[in-house]
Amino acid sequence: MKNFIYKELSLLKSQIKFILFIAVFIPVFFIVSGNAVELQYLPAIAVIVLSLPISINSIYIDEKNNSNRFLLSLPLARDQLVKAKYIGTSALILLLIPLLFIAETVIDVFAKVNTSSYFAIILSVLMVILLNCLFYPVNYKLGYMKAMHLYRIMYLVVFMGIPFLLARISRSFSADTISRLKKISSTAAGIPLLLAAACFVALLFYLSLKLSIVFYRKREI
Amino acid sequence: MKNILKLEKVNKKFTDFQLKDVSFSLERGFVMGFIGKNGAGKTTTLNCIIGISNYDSGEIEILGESNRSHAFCKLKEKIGYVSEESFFYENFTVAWTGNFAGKFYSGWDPSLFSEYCRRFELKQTRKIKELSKGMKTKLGLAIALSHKAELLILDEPSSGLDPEARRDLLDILMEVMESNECSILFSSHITADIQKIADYVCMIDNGRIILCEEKDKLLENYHFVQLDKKYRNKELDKYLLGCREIKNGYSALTRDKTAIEKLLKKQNRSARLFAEKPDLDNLFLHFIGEDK
Repeated sequence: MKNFIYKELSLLKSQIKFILFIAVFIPVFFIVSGNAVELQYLPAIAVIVLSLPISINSIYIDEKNNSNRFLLSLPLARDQLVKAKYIGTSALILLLIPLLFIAETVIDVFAKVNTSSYFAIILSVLMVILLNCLFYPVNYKLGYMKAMHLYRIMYLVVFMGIPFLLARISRSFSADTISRLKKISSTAAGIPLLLAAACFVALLFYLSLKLSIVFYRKREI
Repeated sequence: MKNILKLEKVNKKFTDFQLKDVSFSLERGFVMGFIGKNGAGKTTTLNCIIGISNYDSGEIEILGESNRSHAFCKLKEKIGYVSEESFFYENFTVAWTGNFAGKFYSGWDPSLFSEYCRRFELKQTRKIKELSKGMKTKLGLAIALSHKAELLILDEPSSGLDPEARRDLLDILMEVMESNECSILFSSHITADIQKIADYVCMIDNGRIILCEEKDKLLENYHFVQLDKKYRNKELDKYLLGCREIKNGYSALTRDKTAIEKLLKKQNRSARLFAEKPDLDNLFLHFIGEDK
């Protein structure tokens, strides 16, 4: 498995310029715009934006080079390739957590803005893994091109749906309830909630993996 | 275990093409040339063997294990595969590709890989996208030969190579054969390459195996004949294979030259038969070509 994580890391090298650009551009944009509200959500936004190249690029490069044929000629089973893709990309996305924790601390200290909590970062990471769990089986069943259409729709729904959902929540609940929710997410009281979300994502991860294996075993390469 | 590779009635259906009851076997320590026209089913058959493609029915055994069993994954350590096209990661270097592939083989020998790279004039620092088709094939070969494989499956390895590189490739394959007791299944359009190194010849056409025989026996048993048009008749046709029209007559293959000579004598005492030992190219043309 470590060979595949090494491969995924190597594949990521081609995206390093883009990732660095995003990593610099987004904070600069928000700081220059002087909007502390957006800056607050910066680490959580960064999770979504930085995870995109990791999960999509990994599949895109395999597809572009038709490298699954190369990989299948190695002493590997199809099941292993699917597992490796799931674990490899998820491991890289999880690697973002400590990096973003550092970024959050830096913003808190230097920009003097109370950013979204660690809770929000972990939740965003779980959300990205969840999206991948929906995307991968479609990719293994229908191929990259068709799956990409679905992925774009999913991201549009997420990007447009979340602000809409937050607006609905803020209208539906009293200010007191929202401040209680915020408190939960910024204290240890949020940990069980986070664990529950993590368990849900882990279950979905497992089911998605099993489904992808079934699809990939039957797929013509 | 005598057979290193055995295919038994392998079938695979596409919308416009089908592999039909493909059966053949390859003994340990021998080279089999796999010949067929474009689209005849060579690559599909090889893909089914290595596990890149699934097949609908039949059985493929490699080193005594079905390639559908869990053990096959481990057995692939003993197989070297070179595909017709390159499927390496274009943005990575030769060294990275060798290093990555090598991590999956317990018998990987990095110094052997470097040696083959040197021999094939492959610079390890070059990116795959900077390599020509022939150089990519050489990289595939360097990988396939650097983990002490017992079975080499080569899909048109010589098609992108210049004559000198082709000669080198055949020399290397013969060296490998001598030193490793390795078996080779080698698909090619270039019958001269197969004639040079193969012990067995397997011909495929339209998804069916039409012939699988020891090369020397094949060349020994058949005769290439040329006849005048006027002598062609049903009785004679019984002895002829793959008749093709040529200027002033027709050419064909036969397993029974004497019978044809007798028939011709019976029909016309002055009739003369041109007959010679065929080369693989002639055999290929007459077996695969349509009867005319």
